[in-house]
Amino acid sequence: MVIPLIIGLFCRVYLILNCPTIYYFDAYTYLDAALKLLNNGSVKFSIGFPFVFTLASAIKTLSPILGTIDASRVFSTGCSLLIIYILYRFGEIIGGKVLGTLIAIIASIEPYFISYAIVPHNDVFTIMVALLTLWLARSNWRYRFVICPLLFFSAVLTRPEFYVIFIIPLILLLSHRLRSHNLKKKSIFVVYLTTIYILPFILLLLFIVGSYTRFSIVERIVLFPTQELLINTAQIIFIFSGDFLANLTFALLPAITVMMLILSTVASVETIPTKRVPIAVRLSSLKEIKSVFCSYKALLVLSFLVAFIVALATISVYAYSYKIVDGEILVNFSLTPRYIILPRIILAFAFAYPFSWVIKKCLVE
Amino acid sequence: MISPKRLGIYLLLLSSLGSIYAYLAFSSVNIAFLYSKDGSKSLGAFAEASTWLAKNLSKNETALVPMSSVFYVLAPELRNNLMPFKSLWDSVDVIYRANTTIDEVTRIRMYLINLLKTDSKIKYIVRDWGDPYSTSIFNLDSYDELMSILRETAVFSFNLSTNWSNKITIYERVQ
Repeated sequence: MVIPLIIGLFCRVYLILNCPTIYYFDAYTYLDAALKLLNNGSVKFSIGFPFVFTLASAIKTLSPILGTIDASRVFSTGCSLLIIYILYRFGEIIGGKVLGTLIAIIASIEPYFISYAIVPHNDVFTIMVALLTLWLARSNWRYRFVICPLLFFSAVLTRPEFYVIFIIPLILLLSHRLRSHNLKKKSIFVVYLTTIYILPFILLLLFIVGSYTRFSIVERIVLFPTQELLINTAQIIFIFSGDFLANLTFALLPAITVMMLILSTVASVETIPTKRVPIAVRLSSLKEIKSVFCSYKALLVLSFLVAFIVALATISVYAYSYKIVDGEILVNFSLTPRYIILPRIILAFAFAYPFSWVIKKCLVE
Repeated sequence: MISPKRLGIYLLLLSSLGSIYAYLAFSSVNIAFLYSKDGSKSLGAFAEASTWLAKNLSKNETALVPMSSVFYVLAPELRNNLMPFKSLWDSVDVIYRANTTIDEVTRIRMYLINLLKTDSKIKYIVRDWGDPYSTSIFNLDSYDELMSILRETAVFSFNLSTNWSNKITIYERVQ
């Protein structure tokens, strides 16, 4: 666990020392809003305010020692290190310490994650809060039903598209422990989900997203999920270097992971005994397979897979800038890198799996 | 005891996968450093411009700036001396949209020209490359008098690792 944190911290501290100026325009907007909040108490409850509140609190705490700008950068770096830690813990559950360590290392050196981690930008903060929500949702902490919505909507009010990306994984993880509960408890859970997670989203759509004027949400949903944009997003996510062959090799790693998972699934299904074996033995084998597929490991893999696919689609709909000239939509095919941080971080799971498998085999034998 | 053949396969797998991961790490860190340093260079021009304005603006003078929050953070003492380009759009009651028309931008440009002629407080105008509220005004193909009532006073240019270069120009209003 210590190794990824040290690597992540080293990269970030090195960059902070070499880049004296905060380098994203939006970061200044958030910093300015946080300073206004601290200096005159002026609050603007628009998109991003949970981040501004947290940033202002961090600046107030740290600025006497570090100064305003460095305090904001340290806050963001802290959020990024927490992401690395949470990813390690998720990886540990899915495939043990080796996989956890590799996932955390690969995520910690994601180029745009490093770059955005040293400026007070809302992306790193939102990813941290969203992952923390998932982490708490999978726990058996009794207050998770109260804390998860608070954290989840902090993320959503900072980056609205996170609702679409994380709502299914969140419901999957929250509902997992309810499988054995009776109908009454399940009904209460459905009411809880509807009132806490669905209704606020409808209000959000009606009152906040409707106020977007620069880029109409209706135009985006109706016109943007094209195959061309989806492919473009996927290509951008997989470009890690200027070298075509290297990018192809990197893209093969997740493909190998998917193949390995399919093969291991087929292998486990093949262990179901044939008809000659007594029914009790067959049922116990089926139970064993069910316990694998319905385990936390499988659920986490499914959750991150869903989050990745939905993130890909959401980015294609939401993140491209466009102009309308003479009634024609002109889409700018370049993508602001901050949008690909989340899918790249999730991709670290698929990148890490083949290497962890080989290391584990070596260690076992 | 592991057989030599198996050990060989594992070593081969480990070293080949290890070298792929090492290259991935190298590329990632390299991109991060280049990208961040480039960003720092371009915003460094804003830092230089804000220092210049802090030195050259007196108490009763105003500068029209793009990306006002950048200047507010970099030079908080200038907060009362800065006027964002967005305020021009608000004054003309035009919202920046994907389908903003040339007519709307022309109206804002005309408003700016009138403002420069009537408001003697405005001393400097800062032009950047990214703020849509200012670039759409300056990039408009127009044969009006805007550029003739402005004189280039200071330029802060930069060149990125991708060979892309740009600048921040500070114009002074010609009396």
